[in-house]
Amino acid sequence: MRPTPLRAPSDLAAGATIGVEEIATARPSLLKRLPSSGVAMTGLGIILFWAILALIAPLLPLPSPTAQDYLAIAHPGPGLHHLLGVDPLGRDTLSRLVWGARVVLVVAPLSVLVAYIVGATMGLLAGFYPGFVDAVISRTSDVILAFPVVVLYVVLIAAVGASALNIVVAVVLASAPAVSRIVRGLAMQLVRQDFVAAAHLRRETALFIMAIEILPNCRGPLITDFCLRLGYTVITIGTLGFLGLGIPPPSPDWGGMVQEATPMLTVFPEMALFPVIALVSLVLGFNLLADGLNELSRAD
Amino acid sequence: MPSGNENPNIRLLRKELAEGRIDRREFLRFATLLGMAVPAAYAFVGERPIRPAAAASAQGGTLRLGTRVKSLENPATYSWGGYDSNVTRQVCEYLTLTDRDNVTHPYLLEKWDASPDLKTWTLSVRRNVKWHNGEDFTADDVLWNLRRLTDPAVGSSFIGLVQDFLLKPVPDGTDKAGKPETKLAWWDANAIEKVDSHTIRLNGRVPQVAIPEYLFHYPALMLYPGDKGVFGAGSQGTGAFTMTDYRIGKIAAVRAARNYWATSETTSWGGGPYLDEIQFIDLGDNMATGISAMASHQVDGLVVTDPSQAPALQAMPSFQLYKVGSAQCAVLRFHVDLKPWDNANVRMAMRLGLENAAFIELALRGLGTLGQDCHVAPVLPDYGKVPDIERNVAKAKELLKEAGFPNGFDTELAVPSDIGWIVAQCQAAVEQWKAIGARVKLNVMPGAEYWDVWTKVPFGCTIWYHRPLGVMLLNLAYRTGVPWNESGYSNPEFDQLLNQAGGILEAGKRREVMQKLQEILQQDGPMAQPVFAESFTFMDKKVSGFSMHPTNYVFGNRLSLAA
Amino acid sequence: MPGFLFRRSLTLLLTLVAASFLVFSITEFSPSNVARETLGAYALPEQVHLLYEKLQLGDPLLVRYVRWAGVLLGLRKDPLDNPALGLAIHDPNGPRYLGNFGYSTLFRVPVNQIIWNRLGNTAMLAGIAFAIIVPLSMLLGILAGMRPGSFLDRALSVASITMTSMPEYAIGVILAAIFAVWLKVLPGTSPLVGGTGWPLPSQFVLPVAVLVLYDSGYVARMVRASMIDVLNRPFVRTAILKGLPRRRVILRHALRNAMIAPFTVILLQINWLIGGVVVTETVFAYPGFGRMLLQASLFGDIALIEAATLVALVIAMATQLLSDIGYWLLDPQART
Repeated sequence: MRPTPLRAPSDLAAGATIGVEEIATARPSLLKRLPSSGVAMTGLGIILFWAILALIAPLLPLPSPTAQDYLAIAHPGPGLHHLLGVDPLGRDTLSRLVWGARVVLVVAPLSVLVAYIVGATMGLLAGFYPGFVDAVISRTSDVILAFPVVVLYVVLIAAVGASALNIVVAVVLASAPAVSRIVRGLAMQLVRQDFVAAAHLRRETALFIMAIEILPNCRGPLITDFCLRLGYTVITIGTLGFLGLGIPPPSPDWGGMVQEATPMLTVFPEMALFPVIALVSLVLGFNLLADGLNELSRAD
Repeated sequence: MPSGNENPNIRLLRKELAEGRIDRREFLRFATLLGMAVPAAYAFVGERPIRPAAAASAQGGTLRLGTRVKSLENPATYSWGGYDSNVTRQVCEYLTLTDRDNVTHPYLLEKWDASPDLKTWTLSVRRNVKWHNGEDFTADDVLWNLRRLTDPAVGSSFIGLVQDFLLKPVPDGTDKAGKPETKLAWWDANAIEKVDSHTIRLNGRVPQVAIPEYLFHYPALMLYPGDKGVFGAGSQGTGAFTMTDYRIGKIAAVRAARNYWATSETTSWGGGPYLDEIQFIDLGDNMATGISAMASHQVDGLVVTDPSQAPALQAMPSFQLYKVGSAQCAVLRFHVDLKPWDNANVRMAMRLGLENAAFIELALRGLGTLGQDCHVAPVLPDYGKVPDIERNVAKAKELLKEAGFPNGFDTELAVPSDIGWIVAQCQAAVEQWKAIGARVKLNVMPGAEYWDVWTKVPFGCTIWYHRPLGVMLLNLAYRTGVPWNESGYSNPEFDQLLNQAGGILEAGKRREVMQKLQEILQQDGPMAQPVFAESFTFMDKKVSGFSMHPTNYVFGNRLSLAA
Repeated sequence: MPGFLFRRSLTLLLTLVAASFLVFSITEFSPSNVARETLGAYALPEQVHLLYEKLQLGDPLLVRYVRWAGVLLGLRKDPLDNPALGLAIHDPNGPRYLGNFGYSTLFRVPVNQIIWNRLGNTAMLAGIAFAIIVPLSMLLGILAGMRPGSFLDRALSVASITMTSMPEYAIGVILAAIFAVWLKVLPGTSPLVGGTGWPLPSQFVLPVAVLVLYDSGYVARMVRASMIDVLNRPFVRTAILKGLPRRRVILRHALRNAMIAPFTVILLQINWLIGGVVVTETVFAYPGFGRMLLQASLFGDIALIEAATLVALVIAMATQLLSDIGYWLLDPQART
């Protein structure tokens, strides 16, 4: 599991060149220019592959992901009845992968999205109101960012119990302060810009300035961070599943599938390998997309 | 057999055996409990005692076992028999020993005698036993240990077994609100009494036939009084080993002691020690580490194995599978005070919704035996024969319809996450229940959290370990109002029959009552219970002298390693 | 500098107090759990209730936090270390001393008897991994950054992005299956017990490999990005245009500047390793801090969770302080 709050901001720190001006110029064309980046398109392709599979899962001629074929347990390998074999409980691996994509593609984006809503609001407020508001938000963020992320996840989930909702809450708690920190940094640069001053002169409300003038201008670096964070969240959910703190069974969860299959790895390696491949490919998709977007935004 | 001063109950047992009302297994168990010598009991049923595997061919070496190294400091409060007591039992010993066939042997005792009313038990302490420091093991040591084990302030689970027999509640002032409070104390100052240097007498309040078995309950280790109840590296003991190294969560090591008192002549499980050292190595909770450690030969065997580890270990030619039937099971239990479980039809429908036989493969990978939804395993000596419960989806739906759920119902099943096969059992059950319209959501929670709510959740899955007697389990789990009655089950007829079973000394008659009790559970009971798990583990083929005990106990003195 | 250092330390200390309160609130939120988990699985409801009363668990969270902090600072006796409770909890250091983290219900010893040993083991594992990750990723990152677009650069990009997309547990489980079970060239677990036919150093290979594989690619990418950035700066271009040998320019001028940004990243790897070892140690049964924390969390060993989290926080903050100071020393601009 990656240190989400540390890594994404430091990516920006390492880039070090992403300034406000570049954001402004990169903004209108970034998504339009996406097809020109082979890396980004590869990533997007992988993500779409899983997204479409997840979407049409009910239409596919697959057995239920929880149906147990206990006659298949003795010979769980790939075969005619089960294209990718069955898991230790005799459930069809392919079906669980496809339905598992539904789980992960709902939980991960949802938690990152909520983290962004919370984090961006915090960051905007902190950047817009220096002084007391900024101090409160920044110090609160510091407290949470002080934790090694895995430690925070393990302690939190173990205390409140593992469920999809609690995973979302944990991801939001751990990620929102990191998002807030990025947005705050960008907002503090932007509030000094002319177009914000102009908005002030037009007597626009603070809400309008934050939401319409500042936020859209943070988009460039945030899109990259969003993709990276999605990738890490997929890994996080998998890791929690592996540690026995993930989405509870019998729901098909890729990390949980790996955990259930690891004792069989030496006799039926494909049982664990297929979910590992699925998980790695999806994370790779998000990372490639982030990489491509990052290159594009820097190419100016 | 001399029968002049023989316990009249033994005479009764002989008669019952002769008349075919009890089988040989049951006779062996009860006759030995009542003090009949083990070889004599076997001779009487025309069998030879099962001799443990032949004595070691090789001497020396270090045996390494994968396990969890839990806290060992306070043996009286052990709660993980397979883990903690297995280290300590190599150093300290028990007064008795219940073997894998549920037959209880004298161990540090030479013999015992029960009064005809089963209230007074006279324990004769073996005479040739010495502590490692050369002092004699005497009745004073036994007295000290038994008093300590039954002292409520020490907090040993041993109390739970002998509470009615040796203790009673006495007034203990009043609480803040002025209500009188009670605490447990010996019912009589002489409840545990020293008769002479090698004789102890237990003066019980009520009849109790299982006393010798209780003395083998895993916290009932005989500790050296000078160690003040604390166990650690270098502690005194009477056993074949002394502990030399102990680091919690990592390793515990025991080395062979000289001049072990129990030779293969004195007792059937004696002899040895043949090994120089046994190391217990902590491998954590992750199922895959046990396999990796075995594959790398970092350990020669595992103390406890989960069914999910079996396929990988079976595929490795250097390991031997050992197994024995046990009464261990995980009950899918309903809280009868809560809807919809207050309706007996719903409970019956749930039982009918499961294909019990499928669970042997699904949950236990073949390492189990069929359950009959009554919590009493056929391997137990007091099991009464009852029919299997066959899956019947149509009947189950009908029952649900009668109960007012024509379209099924939704519910949640709580299950602790720390035992792999239980979660597998619940997943399989949830899947099968879909067919009858019971939509069950699994709530998998950490073990600690489950134990906080296990008697309260409407629907939960609870592990019950092996006990040598079915009536013990029924008394613990289904009698009205007892602390471990997790389902809130209360059935006057059932309680009445339980009382009756406790008072019957004729085993044959008791089994008839057991049969009735089991039938009540099958028809009206607060749970479904599809399978019994076998106790099993794997050892390297170069290990000899091992045999599987239903509670995963390891007897290190008998083990040896081929070069 | 001293003023900056003082302010920074004070902020961190306050953050630590707030964070410890957060941990306390998470773990002790449900007071009946505290009593239940102290007594263990088989306790009767009356026993739980009695302990609940005796420990005054009905009091508000803040009051209980202050009490807990009092025990930790040696101002109060540990309420559990009391023979009258019949819990058989006894700390050989006495019930009251500075740094009393309480009593672990999982291991049934005072927390201090278990936590430092585990931390030492983890420091050893993480230290070895760190000693490999830093030079390896710097070397790869610098080489790739010197010639962007070269074969090495592309290879590194592909390798590192793939490795960072691979969860640690997957790497660990697959490495163990290949090297321990099939090839039988390395031990499959690392309990740090000698004499099992596998010398202690061999038991470090797989866990260290997991940490290195997972982390090096990421750090190398950071170094590469920074290197490219610095090489494009005017002063480097000028130096090269002036005819100075490229190698010398890179070694003399570019490297130091290129290290400023990754410096923080590298130091923060220490922080990351504290969490990263949870998975690795669990996969290889390594008796370290991370596995201990996971066990404690799953078991509900409140005192141990609190202590371990606090220790992890202190380490994280110490590295943060260190990176602040380092940044301040390395980058002249930061001193203004």
